Amino acid sequence: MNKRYSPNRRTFLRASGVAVALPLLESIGPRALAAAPVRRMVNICCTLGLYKDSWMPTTTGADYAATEYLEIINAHRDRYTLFSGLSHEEQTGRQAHNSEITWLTSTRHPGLDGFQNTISIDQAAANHLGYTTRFPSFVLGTATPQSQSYTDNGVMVPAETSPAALFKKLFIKGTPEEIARETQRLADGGSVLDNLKSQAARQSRSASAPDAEKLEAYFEAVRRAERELAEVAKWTDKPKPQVNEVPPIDVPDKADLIGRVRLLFKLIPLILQTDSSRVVNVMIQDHGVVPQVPGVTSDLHSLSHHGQDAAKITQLRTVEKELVRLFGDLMTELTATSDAQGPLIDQTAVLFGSNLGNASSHAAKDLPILVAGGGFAHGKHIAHEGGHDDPLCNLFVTLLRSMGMEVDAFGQSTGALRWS
Amino acid sequence: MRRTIQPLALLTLVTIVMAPRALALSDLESAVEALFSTSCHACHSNTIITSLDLTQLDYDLANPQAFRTWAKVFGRLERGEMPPAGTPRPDAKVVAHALATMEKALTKANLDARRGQRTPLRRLTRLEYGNTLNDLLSLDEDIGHKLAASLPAEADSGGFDTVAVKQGISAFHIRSYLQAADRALDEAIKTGPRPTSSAYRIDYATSQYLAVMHDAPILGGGITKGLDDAAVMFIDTGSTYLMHSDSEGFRVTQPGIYRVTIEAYAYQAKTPVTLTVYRGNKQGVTAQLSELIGSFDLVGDEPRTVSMTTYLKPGELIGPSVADLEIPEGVFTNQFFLPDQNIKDYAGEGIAIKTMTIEGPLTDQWPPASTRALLAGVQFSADGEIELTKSAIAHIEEIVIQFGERAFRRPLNAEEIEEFTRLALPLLADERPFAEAVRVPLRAILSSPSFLYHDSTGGLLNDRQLATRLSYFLWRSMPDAELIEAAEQGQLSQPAVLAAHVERLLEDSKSDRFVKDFAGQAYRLYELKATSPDSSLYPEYDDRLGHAMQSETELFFRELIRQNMSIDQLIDADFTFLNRRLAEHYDVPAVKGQQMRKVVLPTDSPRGGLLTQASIHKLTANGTTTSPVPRGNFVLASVLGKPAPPPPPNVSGLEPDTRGTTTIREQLAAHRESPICAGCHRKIDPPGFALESFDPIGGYRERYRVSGGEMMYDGYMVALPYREGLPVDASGVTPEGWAFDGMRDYKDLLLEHDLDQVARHLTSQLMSFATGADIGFADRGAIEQILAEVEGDRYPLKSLIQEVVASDLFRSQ
Repeated sequence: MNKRYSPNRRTFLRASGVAVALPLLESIGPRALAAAPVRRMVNICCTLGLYKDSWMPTTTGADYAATEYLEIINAHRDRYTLFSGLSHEEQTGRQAHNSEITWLTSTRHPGLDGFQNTISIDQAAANHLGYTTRFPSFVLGTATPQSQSYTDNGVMVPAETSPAALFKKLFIKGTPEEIARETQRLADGGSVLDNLKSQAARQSRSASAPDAEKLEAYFEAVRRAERELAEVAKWTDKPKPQVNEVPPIDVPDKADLIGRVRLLFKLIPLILQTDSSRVVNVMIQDHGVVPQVPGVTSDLHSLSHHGQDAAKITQLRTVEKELVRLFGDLMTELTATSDAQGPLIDQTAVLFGSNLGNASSHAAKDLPILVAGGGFAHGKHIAHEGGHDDPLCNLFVTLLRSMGMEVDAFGQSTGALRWS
Repeated sequence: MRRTIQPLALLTLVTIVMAPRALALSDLESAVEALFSTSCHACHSNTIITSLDLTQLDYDLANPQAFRTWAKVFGRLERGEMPPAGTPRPDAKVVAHALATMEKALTKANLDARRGQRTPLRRLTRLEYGNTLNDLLSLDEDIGHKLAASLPAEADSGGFDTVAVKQGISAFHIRSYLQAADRALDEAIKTGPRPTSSAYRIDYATSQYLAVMHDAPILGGGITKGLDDAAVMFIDTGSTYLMHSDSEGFRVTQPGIYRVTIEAYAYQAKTPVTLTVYRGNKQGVTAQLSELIGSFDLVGDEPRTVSMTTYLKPGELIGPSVADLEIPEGVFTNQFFLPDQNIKDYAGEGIAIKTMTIEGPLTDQWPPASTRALLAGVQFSADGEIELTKSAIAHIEEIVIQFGERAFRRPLNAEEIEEFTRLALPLLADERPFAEAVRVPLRAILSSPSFLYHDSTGGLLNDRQLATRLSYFLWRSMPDAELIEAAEQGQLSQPAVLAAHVERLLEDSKSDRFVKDFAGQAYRLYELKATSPDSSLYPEYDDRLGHAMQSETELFFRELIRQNMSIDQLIDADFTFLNRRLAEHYDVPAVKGQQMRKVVLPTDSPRGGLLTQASIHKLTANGTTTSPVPRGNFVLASVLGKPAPPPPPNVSGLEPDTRGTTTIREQLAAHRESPICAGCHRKIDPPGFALESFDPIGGYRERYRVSGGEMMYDGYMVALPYREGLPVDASGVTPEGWAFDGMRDYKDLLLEHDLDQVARHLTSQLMSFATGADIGFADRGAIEQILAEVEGDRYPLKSLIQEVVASDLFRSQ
C-alpha cells in the first residue's frame, strides 16, 4: 500500500449545515517519547547556489576527491554524504528565483498560474511532533521574513531574523507579571476564538456552497489556532531551559552576511541541546548588498550571475567558502555537543544545499545536496547519473522517515532514497 | 441571519435545464477526433516533439489541469496558430465543428466549477487589511503598513492576490490577526493625560559628539567637517553613526506623529545637491537608515529650511544624509574612513547641516480622533480618562453596534450584537477596567469572518456589497461614509450614481493605492527592488534612482487613468514623469529638483510608453545582465496576456557571459535553431530583442558594458571601471514576419497590430483584480462586450474602468 503523506487528513463533516471537524488523530500533546530515540532535523539552504566546480566532486563513491569547498569540511567527511543528480522537476517559475519557495516542497511551476504551494518537509515533521517541545519548529532567515517553510495549505511561515529575539524567546524567563499578562492574554484570546468559530458555523449554515467551503477553511484555521494556543499556554508556566551563554547581539548591518549566518548557526546547537525544538530551517538569503568579506566588491546575487567572468567567480568562491566554513563550524559544534542520548549530530539529520544547481543561469537541476548526521551511513558521494536527475523528494522521504514518520511518499517522490 | 433566494443560482439552474442536452464526453471526443487524427497527431501524439500529447488528453473537464490544457488547445486553434503555418490546412468545417463543441464544453465546465458564483468569499489581502485598519481606526498610514507586514504573506499563485479561490487561511493567519488587532487597538485607544509635545533642537555646530568625531583618528572618524554654523557631510554612508538624532541625545518616549525641520545649505557645491532624511533604528553603534522620509534639493550656500512629518515610536531615530554629490576626479572618498585620513581639506561637494528640530508628538485633539471614533458614546474627563454615562455593558453594546457596522460594512444582526457584547462580561465580572473589557469584543470583531471577508449572499451584489467591491477596487480599503450613504439609500446601483462614484473615488488620493497595487502586481513593479544592480557595471544606480523609476510608472499609469487617455499612450506616449535624477538617467535636459513631475519628452528621446520605462527594464533583468527571454516573456505575459509556456523539462536557461566575446543574441541564435525551442522562442525573443537597447537599470545603450576586472589598491580590492563591449542589436522579426529595428519600430507594430489584444488583457486584468476572480472561459463574452463599448475611442483607460464597474461581472458575486 502506498500511503501518501496527507496533511488534510481531518476532513470536514458537514452535518445539517454545521461545520464539524473530526478530532485530531495524531500528534499534539504529550506523547510517549521516553522510549523512542529523539530525532531532529535541520535544513539549510544557500539560496544563491554553490559554485558547481568548487562544490561537486567529479568522482564518486567513498574515494571521491574532495573539491575546493569540500576540503574545508573534509574533517567531517565520515559524517556526511554528498549527492549529485537530485532535483525537483518543473521548477521554472514566474520569477527566476522561484525555485527557492519550493525547495522543501517540490511543488511544480512555482508562481505560475494555478500554483499553490504545499507543505514543506520541516513543517510536515513539525506537525508530526507538535508541541512535544516548546516550539514545534524554528524558521530562520538571514535578512527577511521570507522562508522556505510552508503549511499544508501553502501559507508561508515567516522567518525570524533576530538572534537576540530568538534567544529571548528560547531562554529568557519572563517576569511573573509578564507571565501573568501572557496567560491572561491567552485566556481572553480563548473566548474570542470560541466566538469566531460560532460566527463561522452560523454563517456557513446559510451560505452558498463555495462560500461555505471558505468558511469551513476559516473555521478549521480557528480551531487549529485554538489548539495551538492551548498548547502554548501549557508551556507558559513551565520554566525555560537555562544556558550558559551570553545573549547574542544582532548584527545590524545586512552587509555582514557572514556575521549574521554565524549568529543563527550558533543558536542551532542550543535549540537542539535544550530540546526547545527538533526542527530548524535556515534560509541564507540574498542580502542585496556587498557582503563584508575581504576581496569582495559585488553583492552575492551579482556574483552568482558571474557570466563566466573569472574575477567574479573568484569573489563568488571567496564568499561561498566562508559560508561552507561556517557550516563546518556548525558540524563541529553538533559533533561536540551531546545530550543524554549522545552527540547531537547522531540524532540530527542535517540537510545542506541549494535550490539552484547553476545560479548563473537559474537552473534548478543537479542540485548541490549534502546530508549529515541523522544516523545514516556516510562518507560517500552518491551520484545519480544517466542524463536525468532523480527526485530529491526520494531523499525527503528518507529524511521524514528518520524523524519517525511513517511515510511512503512526499511531493514528487517515487520511493525512498536508500544508500549505504 | 436571513438570506434571500439567490437569483444567480436560480439562473444557472435554468440555464442548465434549458440547455438542449448535457454534453456527454463522447460529444467532445467525437468532435475533435477527426481534426486531431488528420492535423495534430503528427506532432502531438507523444511528448518527444512537443510537451503536448493529444492522445493522452483527459476528457474530464472537471479536472482543472485538463481544463487548462483544453482551453489552451481551443485558444491556439481559434487563433489559427495551430496547425502551424506551412502545414496542410484542415477542413474549415471540421475545425468549426471542433471549436463550437469545445467552446460549449469548456463554458459548461467553467460554469459548473463555479457553482453559480464567480467569486467565493473574498478575504482582505494583507494590504487591504492594513488600509482598512487605517481607515477604520484613523491610524497613521505607517502603522497600517506595519500591521499588514505582520500578517502571513499572500501566496504567489500567478494572478492577483485579490483572487478569492487562491487565498489561503491558516491557524497562522488567525494568530496573526489576533495579534495585529491587539496592536491596532493599542494604537487606536489612547487615554489618560495628554502627552506633552516638545521640540528638541539639535545644533550641529555645537555638538560635542561631532566635535570629537570630526577629528577622531579612528576608522570612520574624520569624515565630517565642523564649521562655525554647521557640520558638513560629504559621504552617503548608508548607515550612520554620525548625524542621527540618537547620538545627539533625542529619544522618542511616546509614539506619535513628529515634525522634523532641518536647516541646511550646499557646501562647496557647483551642482544642485540632495539632502535626504531617513527614519531608522539604532542597532549597536550604527543606525540603519531604512526609510526615506524626505529628499530635498539644495542649491547654493543660502540655507534652506525643510520640514516633514513622520510617525515615530520609541527606539526610532531620524538621520539626515547626502546624495548627488560630485566627487573630484581621482579622489576615492572611501579613503577618508581610514584612521589617518581627514576630510577637512577635501574640495568636493558636501552639505552643511545647521540644525535639526524634532517636535512632537503632535496631537490636535485629545484623546485622539481614533479613540473617540472607536469608543462611541463614551465621555472623557479633562485629563483624558474614560467617563461612563451608563452601565459598562450598555456602553459596550453601543460600541459593538456602531463599530461593528463600520467594520463589517453592514449592520450587525441581533444575535451578533449579543454574542460580541457578551464577550466582555467575564472581564467586567472580574472588575477589570472598562478599557480592557471593551477590547475583547473589538478584537473579536477585527478577527471575525465578517470583517476579514467581503460580505456575500450570492447572485447580484446588493448596494452595500457593491459599495464594498467598488471601494476595495479603487481605494483598496473600506467604503467611506458617502459611499455607504449612497448604498443605504439604494442609489448606488443606479448606473449614473455608480459612475459618479467611480469618478469621485478616482479623483481621491486614496486611488493612488489602487494604482500602486495594480501596477505592482499587473506589471510586477513589486519586484523592482528584488535585485540590486552590479555596482561595478552600473555604478550610477542607487535606491533613489530605483524609487524614481517606480514612481515614474505609477504616476504615468495614474495619468493615463485620470486624463482618460487611450491605451495607445500606454504603448507610446510623448510624455512621462521625471525628477532630476531620472531625467539625467534618461538624458532629458532641464529637469531640476527631486519632485516627480510631468515632462514632455524630446522628440529624439528613445523614451515614451511603458516598455521604455527603466522600472520595466530593471525588473526584467538580473542586476548584471539582460536576456531577451524573460523580457520578451514580460511583454507577452504582462502586456499582451499571452504568456509562453514554461520550457520543457530538462531545459535550463542560458549561461550568461559578460566577458565581452559573445552577446546574448548570439547565444540565443543557436538555441532558436532547435525545432523544440523555436516554436515558443520565435514569439518570446522578438520583443526581448527590442528591449535590448535598455540595460539592466534602464539606461539606453548602444553597446554592452563589460566588466573591467579589478585590482589591489592600498590593500583593498577595487573594481575597475567597466568597458564598452560589443554593439547592441535591437532588431528582430515578429512571428508574423514583420521586421523591426529597435523599440520605436516595435511599438509601432504593437500599435498597428496588437492594440486590441493589449486592451483585452488590461480589461481582463482590471476585471480580475476588481472582482477577485480570474477571467474564466465563460467570461470571455463579457470582456469582449466591454471592449466593443470603448473600441471606437481606442480604449481610454478611465472609460475601461467605468465599463468594468458597470458590467454584470462586476455587479454579481
